[in-house]
Amino acid sequence: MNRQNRTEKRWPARVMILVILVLLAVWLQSVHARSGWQQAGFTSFSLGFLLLLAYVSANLLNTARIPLISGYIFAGMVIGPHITGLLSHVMVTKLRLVDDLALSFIALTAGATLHLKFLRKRIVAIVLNISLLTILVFVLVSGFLIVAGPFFAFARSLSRPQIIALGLLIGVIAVARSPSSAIAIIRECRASGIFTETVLGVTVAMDVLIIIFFTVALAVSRMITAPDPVLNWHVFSALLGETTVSLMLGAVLGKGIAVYIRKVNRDLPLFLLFIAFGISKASFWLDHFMEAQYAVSLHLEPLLVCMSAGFAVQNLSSQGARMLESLERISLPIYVLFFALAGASLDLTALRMTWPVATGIATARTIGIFLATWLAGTIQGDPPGHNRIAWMAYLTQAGVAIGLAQLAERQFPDIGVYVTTLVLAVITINQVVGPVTFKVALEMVGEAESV
Amino acid sequence: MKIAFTLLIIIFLVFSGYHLTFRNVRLPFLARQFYFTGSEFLFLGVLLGPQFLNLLDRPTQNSLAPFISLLLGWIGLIFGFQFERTKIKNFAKSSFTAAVIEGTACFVLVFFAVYCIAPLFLDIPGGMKGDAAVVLAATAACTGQSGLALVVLEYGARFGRLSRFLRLVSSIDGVVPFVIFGLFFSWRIGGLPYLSGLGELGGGLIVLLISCLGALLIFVFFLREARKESELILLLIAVAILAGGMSSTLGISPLFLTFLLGILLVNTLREKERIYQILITVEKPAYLAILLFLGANWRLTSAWIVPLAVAFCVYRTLVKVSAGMFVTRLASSGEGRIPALLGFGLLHQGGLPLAMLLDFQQGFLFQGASGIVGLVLLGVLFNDVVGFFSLRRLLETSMQ
Repeated sequence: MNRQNRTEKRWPARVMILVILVLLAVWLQSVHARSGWQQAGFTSFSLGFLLLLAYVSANLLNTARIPLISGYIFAGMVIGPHITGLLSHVMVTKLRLVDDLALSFIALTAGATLHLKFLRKRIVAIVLNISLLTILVFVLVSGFLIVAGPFFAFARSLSRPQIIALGLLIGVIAVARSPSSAIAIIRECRASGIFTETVLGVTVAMDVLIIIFFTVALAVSRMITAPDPVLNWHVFSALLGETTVSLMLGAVLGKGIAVYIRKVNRDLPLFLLFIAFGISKASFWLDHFMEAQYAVSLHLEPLLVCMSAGFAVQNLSSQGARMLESLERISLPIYVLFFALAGASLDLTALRMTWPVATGIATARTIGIFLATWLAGTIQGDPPGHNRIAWMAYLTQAGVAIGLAQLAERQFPDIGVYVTTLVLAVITINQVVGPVTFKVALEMVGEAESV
Repeated sequence: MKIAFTLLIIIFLVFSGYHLTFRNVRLPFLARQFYFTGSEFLFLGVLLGPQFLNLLDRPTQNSLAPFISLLLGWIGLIFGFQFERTKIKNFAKSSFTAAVIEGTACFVLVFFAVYCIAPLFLDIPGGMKGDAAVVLAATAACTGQSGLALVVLEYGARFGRLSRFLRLVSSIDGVVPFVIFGLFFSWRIGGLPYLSGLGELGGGLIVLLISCLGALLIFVFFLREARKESELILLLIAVAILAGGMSSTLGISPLFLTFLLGILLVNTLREKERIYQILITVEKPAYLAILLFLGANWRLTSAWIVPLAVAFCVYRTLVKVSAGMFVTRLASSGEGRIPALLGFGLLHQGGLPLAMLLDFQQGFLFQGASGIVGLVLLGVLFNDVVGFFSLRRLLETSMQ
């Protein structure tokens, strides 16, 4: 049976699920809750509803080659407070408890997909791509925002230093890409080859580096927006210390996970869930505790700890495959919820106001990626055909970028909402376009087995 | 932060605890008994609750509503999955009937006693006497299999025929009381204004049926395609939360709705075995989490509770023994000779009454409800200890 026939057979069942879910939601919305228990019940219903609706509609959209992650975000947008209102603002806020967990999970998976052996083999190409991508994308995107930002309506209420900070933060976030999307597409196409491996290496390694770049951007932005701007070099030494401690802690934790897998090897998915959740919460707790008790700012970066832990399990033990398999078993509900909630929390009113900027950022980012990959390929002496289309493989953006935007929102309440809205708008564009272009690129270089 | 921290603590306790619990480790008898049934989690719940650490207070529990829905939905599905038509057909008809009659008789006898006596000692408003009696009777009628498992672990599987029959009774006798509890729940709490023409019970039933049908159709359509394990996990989590939340909003029992759904699924789906395997993976952790939540809300509201719990357990024992005597006559034809004092082997209460109690605690928020919860919890602890001795004695006697 060919793909088209299979698709034709499947879509009526998927549509039926959506119809049933919507009917149930409409029915429940008409019920007047008399007690706190009934109101809490509606929150639970919304969570189950969101999970199912996002997953089924993403699968439905996937038949039109729209990637699943884009489908989750889109489903979240549709049922969120701005379009149908099936999920209210309050409910979305309540359900966002899962954010930190999901981000830690994504980081753990990203770390575990990095193979040291492969990284060594393609190290020059990867370093060259990463360096050029970081510099050019950052310069073009932040430059665009700093120069053109004041001409847009949303920025009129912002001061010059705030616009510069906004440019720096979004410029750094624009460098991030999505390992989960990249891996999903590579698996979907059963792709393999030099092009595929280089893209994977750059994408995953970039997700480690982006956290360091982002922390630097946060420190510089804090300095710029402070009433008394002084470049505090102590911030950078503290960052270096925090990064080192986070990486080391992650490595130790990774060894611990490997020992658990080797010796206990029970309930591994749940153990990893607990670890991911524990790291994200313990980092925040330690941060607050040290600040409140000793006036010491010790900010361990949970994403970096998790990524380092995943990397350690994969490369310093023989348990990497087992861990990846376990992560995959339970990652689906977490991913669906995370991306659907990210879509539901999109401020579409702000998005309507900022779409010209979002398009501008996406364009600047794409130009930066094109220049960087073309230059890197030319220096490396890669085939010209590859160099011309390599940019298509780097557009996808998701989890970590959203997480970074949220961190920025917490650190800079004045400009944070713009950062999140713009980043989500750009991600929405990139997540719809990026996976499709990546798939096309894999086909064009002849590394995709099936399409 | 508090919600996340509490959830983290619960996950840690439950998943680290369940590997250590339910084992026959060498401890003094009472401690082993306590440990084997997971009763220590009730006390951990008390520790986490408002009386001590205040981590699991009422607002936090409300925020964890999806988690509670997931627990109740999950346990309901597991219970429903035990009623597969082909497996039930394997039992002798007389044994099945005997088990059902035993459970129903216990329910009726405990119901009337509690209805008349409990309000004299507990602060239960007049209109709520029936609510208290139904939950106490339904939980009292259920028999758990954990006691039998412990005795078999202790003495080896030497009691073939009788232990098989006890296992059958303990898996069936809670059905009728549980169905009564579920329907009563729908009648008392559920019902929608536009269905008032059908009466409170009729309205509740319609709501129950529509909800159940909706959830079933989601399953059926979802499983029209071959699904990977990760997709089935997603489906189960989502439907358990959805059905649990839907039933809470509509005022019907989440546990009962998912129980009905479980029965329908196990008798209609081809994928039932794969689904059941996923469900039972976290059965024990789910049960321990229920104990934590119950423990957090456990209050000894009246000085009468402890003597009342003892009296309740003694009465329950008498009822179980009497009902047992009655049904052994029925079952003896199908299962060979069954000892007349069968009821002494049916005192353990198991996990289902605890899930029903959590369900009750969520839906029935009247004055005196916490007293009823306290009474049942004391009863469960008491029966866990007494049940083991009486079951062992019964099995030993039957060997002679």
